[in-house]
Amino acid sequence: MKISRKVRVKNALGLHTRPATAIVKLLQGTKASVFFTHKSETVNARSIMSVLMLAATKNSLITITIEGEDAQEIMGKLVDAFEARFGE
Amino acid sequence: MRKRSWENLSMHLKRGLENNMNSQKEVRIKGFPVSEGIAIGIPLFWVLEEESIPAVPITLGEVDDEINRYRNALSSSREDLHRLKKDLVQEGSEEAVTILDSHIQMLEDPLITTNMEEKIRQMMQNTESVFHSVMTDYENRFTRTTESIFQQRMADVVDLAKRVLSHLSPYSPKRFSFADVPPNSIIFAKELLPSFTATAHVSRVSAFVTQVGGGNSHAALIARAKGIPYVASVNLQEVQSMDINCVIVDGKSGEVILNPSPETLEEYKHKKTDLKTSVQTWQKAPQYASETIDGCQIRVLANIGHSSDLDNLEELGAEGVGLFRTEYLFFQNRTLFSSQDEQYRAYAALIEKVGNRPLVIRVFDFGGDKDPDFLEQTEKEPNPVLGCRGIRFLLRHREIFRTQLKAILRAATQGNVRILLPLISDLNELTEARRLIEEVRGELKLKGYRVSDDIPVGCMIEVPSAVLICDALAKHCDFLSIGTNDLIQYTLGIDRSNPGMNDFCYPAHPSVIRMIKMVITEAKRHRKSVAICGEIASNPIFIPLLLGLGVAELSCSPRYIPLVKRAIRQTRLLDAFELAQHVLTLNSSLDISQVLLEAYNKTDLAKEG
Repeated sequence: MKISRKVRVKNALGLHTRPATAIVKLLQGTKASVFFTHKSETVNARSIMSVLMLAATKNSLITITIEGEDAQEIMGKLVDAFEARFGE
Repeated sequence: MRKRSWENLSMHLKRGLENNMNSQKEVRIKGFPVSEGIAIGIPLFWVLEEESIPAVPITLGEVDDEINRYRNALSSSREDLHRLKKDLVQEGSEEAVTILDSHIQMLEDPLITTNMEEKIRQMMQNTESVFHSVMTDYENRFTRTTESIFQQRMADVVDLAKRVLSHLSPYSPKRFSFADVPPNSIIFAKELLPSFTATAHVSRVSAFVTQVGGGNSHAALIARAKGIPYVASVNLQEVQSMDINCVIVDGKSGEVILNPSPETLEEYKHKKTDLKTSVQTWQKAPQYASETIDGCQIRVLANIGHSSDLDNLEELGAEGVGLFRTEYLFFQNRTLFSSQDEQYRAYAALIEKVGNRPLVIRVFDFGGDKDPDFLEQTEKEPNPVLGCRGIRFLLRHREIFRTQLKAILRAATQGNVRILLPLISDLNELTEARRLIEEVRGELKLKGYRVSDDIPVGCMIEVPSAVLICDALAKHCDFLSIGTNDLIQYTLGIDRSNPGMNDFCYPAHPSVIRMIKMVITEAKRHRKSVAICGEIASNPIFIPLLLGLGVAELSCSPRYIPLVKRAIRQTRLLDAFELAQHVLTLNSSLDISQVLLEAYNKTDLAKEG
């Protein structure tokens, strides 16, 4: 299954180190391939450095694309995490 | 763009000249204040020597060996970081732990692992040169981004790369650590790398002064977490050309004073004892009871963010956990309020560690200024500190809240658990939260779960509105906890993340003291307990006042517990009561801080320095 959805970055400092770390940790133990697209650049969401290099500031729109069995579940967790500003 | 090279670490320490004591003239340099505190010490110049890395071709047969060598370097780096992280956990530097955690995660980054291995196969060159070229490439990409915050994060990549390279080199010099510098060193460096900063200890490194770096850098965060003063934006060339025998660093004003005159030195020595911000030799944890000279028992509890912080509670003499911040738990265990079961397991494990001692679990407190990085936010967004945070967030995102409550209720059949609601400002929020607790309890019981039937529910008092209605809140909840950091911020209208607005006087503002008094009076009337959690609870200057106001419970960061206990043991409740009565008659923060300081300077704690 392949799903994709747009989310907005709510963290004041954008997708900086802490959110990027939280994303990578969240994805550990899951199997699907997860990609973030921001301004025509698409990166592997499991790579902290790639997520940082998106330089996504507050209010940026990120397209999350997930392909794999557990796609739906992962999408739910990711959207919640974005919504909760990764706990900040 | 700055050029950097990744060659093995060879760092040199150059001790400042210690002669010509008399012929030196005092020089004052103004830098950017990054981490508060005053330090007086001897300069130590830290130079990162940069060398080039030759590219050596390898044969097909050598590729696997190279890859193995690389994997070993990664695994040694991982060990380093885990060791360092453990030290930081023990120091209670939560923010620093989070940063190291991200370094550990970066080592698992596919760009560092699989991609690098592919590159070695493709390029058929020695690992160092491949690694160097890959890292330089990332560095260029980071520097291209226009956002300074992302540019600053490059320091983490540089830091990590240096660590890995140092493990690749067979003839690498002894790995540098700030733990080895002579005591009382003031480190002058072009810039600081986060994980190196993490090796510094206040007993040896008194302050940092750098040319590059700002309040937002991870190195700055770590320095603050460790309580080491730090001033940035200082031109080092100017400093290096001088003979320096002594330096004063004022991390609050951003002033660096070279070769201070005897008068200046005297002045700062005074200031230093006045504003005791660094953690010092109180580490010898007293196992004595925390009671005043006249035998009044005061409960000292710990503020905890990570379950690993619990490991040395006993050693430090904590009687329990006064504030467990659940929002951090989920970054440690990556469960991120996903399933109720995962959360349940996390709480159950926590309760098992704490045993029968009190454990106050604060439900998710998202939003606001939780992130110290918030400091230099420039966007014209509605102010999140006044936005949807604490209980407001939870009541708006009910599923997240209900899941957490269910997990807590299930886990709380053991132990001595209480639930604390953050940022209550209206009675409705309390009653609604209580109603939700009843509701989920009913649902759990229907499903056949064993749940706690009488879990106490408390309110955080951190906004003035809560203080003004605390009679109603005290009536309808089971306990109160005053979060002084936020209360000060909201009462005085001071942004506490703004370094320019950070002053010792604010907690001593009469409004704050009177508010604490109001809450205690109402709580006593309704026979509810009150705890103080916030920086004020760990400040020995304030402790006699708090006790005099009737506080019987203090909750602070674990590393301050020995200090807090000593302050309590040196207080006579009768004197404290008189002090509080006197302070309540004063009308300015200046007068109050003066009275508190005078009282403090008479104690043994002040004399021990």
